[in-house]
Amino acid sequence: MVKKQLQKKKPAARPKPEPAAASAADLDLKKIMEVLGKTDVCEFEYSRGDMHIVLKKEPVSVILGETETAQTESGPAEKNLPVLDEKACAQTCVKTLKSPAVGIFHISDGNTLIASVGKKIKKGQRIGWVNSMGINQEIMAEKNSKITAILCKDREVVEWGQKLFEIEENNV
Amino acid sequence: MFKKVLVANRGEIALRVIRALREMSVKSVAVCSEADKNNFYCGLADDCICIGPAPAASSYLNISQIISAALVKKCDAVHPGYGFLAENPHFAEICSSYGLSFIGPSPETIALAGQKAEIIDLVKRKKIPVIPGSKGVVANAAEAKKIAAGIKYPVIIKATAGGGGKGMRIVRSEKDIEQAFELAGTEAKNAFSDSGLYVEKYIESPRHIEIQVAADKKGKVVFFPERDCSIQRNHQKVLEEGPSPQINSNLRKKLGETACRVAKLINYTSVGTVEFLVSKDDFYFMEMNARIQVEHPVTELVSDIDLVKMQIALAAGEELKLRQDDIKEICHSVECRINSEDENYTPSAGTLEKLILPGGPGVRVDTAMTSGAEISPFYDSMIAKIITYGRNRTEAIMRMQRALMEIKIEGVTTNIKLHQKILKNENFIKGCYTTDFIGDMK
Repeated sequence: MVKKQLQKKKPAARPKPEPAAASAADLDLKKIMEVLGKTDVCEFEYSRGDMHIVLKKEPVSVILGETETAQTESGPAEKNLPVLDEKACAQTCVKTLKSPAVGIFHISDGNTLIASVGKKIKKGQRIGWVNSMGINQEIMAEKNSKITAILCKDREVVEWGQKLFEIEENNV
Repeated sequence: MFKKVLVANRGEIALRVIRALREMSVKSVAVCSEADKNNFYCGLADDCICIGPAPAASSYLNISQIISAALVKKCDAVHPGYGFLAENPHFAEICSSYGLSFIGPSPETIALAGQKAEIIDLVKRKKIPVIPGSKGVVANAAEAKKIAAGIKYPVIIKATAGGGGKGMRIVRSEKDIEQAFELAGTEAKNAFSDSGLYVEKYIESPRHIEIQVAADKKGKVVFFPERDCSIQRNHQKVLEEGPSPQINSNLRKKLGETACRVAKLINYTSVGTVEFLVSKDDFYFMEMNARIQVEHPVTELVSDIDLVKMQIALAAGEELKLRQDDIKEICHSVECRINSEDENYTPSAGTLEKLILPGGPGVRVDTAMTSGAEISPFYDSMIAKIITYGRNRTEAIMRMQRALMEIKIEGVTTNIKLHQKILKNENFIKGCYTTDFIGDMK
């Protein structure tokens, strides 16, 4: 599982604060928060002089049991803004699902597409499979998740370990 | 002829097969483990597919992944190389059941060749000389003791499914046989999942001589000039040459004809090797290797014949065009296996920080290694095979000495010094050596 995080900047040896940089007001906090809000970075830590800021994103709510209509995570802009809350913990992380076998990748069962970008999926729900020598090896999420990318085409030949899906797992 | 062949192996032998296929205008599909994705051979195939993680059991020995790869890539044949699945009759059978031609003999022949006790029994019935010993698998240490008393010590205990010195013990007196039998059985079980053992007379200071044969599906068999593989350490070959400096033309003919008889006896249909132990002018059949061998380039150079292309053509149903009289010794050849290992022959893994390989007249190099490549702990530690040839033995040896001086390897320890020592040894230069050579040289 890969948890995407902005590389934390560890507090280095603290130099003497420069007068112009000592005030938090001088840092355009709102701007930083807006930028972070548009990324999937979960946590941001910054130190300079006597100042130490930790920004963590609020949990993203995942709607479960929905139909195939793609649900987007981005609600009101404010919702995705990082918040200044040290206790709040990131609740989503991006994970790549890889092929367990050499075979033919499937995301459609006949004419029905079972996976699409933006689709919310439940723990254990099948979102595709790899047919290897007539045996279907199912691809499913370990947790409630959302499909953020489908990296192979339906009926494409895939090798062992090939990236098939990118999903955003809900850790709640 | 085949349209597309899956090469179910790695490293230098995969590359050797890919090269043969290209020269035959047949498409190649390489397979690789996760650890081999950047290996040189992968890029030289027409296509490449990753079949599993680094451990061989999950990749190069994973039959379902290999068959699946051949099917999804629409191959019509599979070349197993040597090692891994090359002598697995079950694999050959599965290939066939999925409509894939297995480039090698039939599953039945592979199975028979692999059961050493059975094949020895079979050739013995046809009056082919074999080393005196047990009939088939020996049930226990007590039975081994009884057989040893009959054929007299020293005796050697061997694994029926064995090779490479695994599950093998030399026993010189009755007091040691029980312990040796137990140890060999455990080793065989661990190495081959088969603890079957047989016992035979141990021939002191023999020569290991092998005959390359080729057989088509119509029953025609030809043999090639012998390879002398007596230079071994831990019962594993290090340096091979052909023809043997210790075999006269009369014995050569006898060995060749016997090898053809063995091949016919087991309905062999591919290239393969019949191994003999030779003591003075006596020879004994040891086993048949139902595959292309590591040292096949020696024969290719001596005879100027591409054995891998021949193997592919035979599997595609072509008849042998060669007549026995067409096969000549046109030169002398020596092969050195350059391994990543320490002076105790323990393999060492690591990065080849620098790799400069030899060239020039009379030098062939078979390798899939390049500077920066990894010697993986998961696989064989061979870096390269250096094969030289010359108008005579002296020229081939001089070229090998020169070639070994040109090699530059940094990052891992190699056995180049061992080869240099062998090549300068007086007995080796005279051509007088046995399988005890390396032990005696120390």
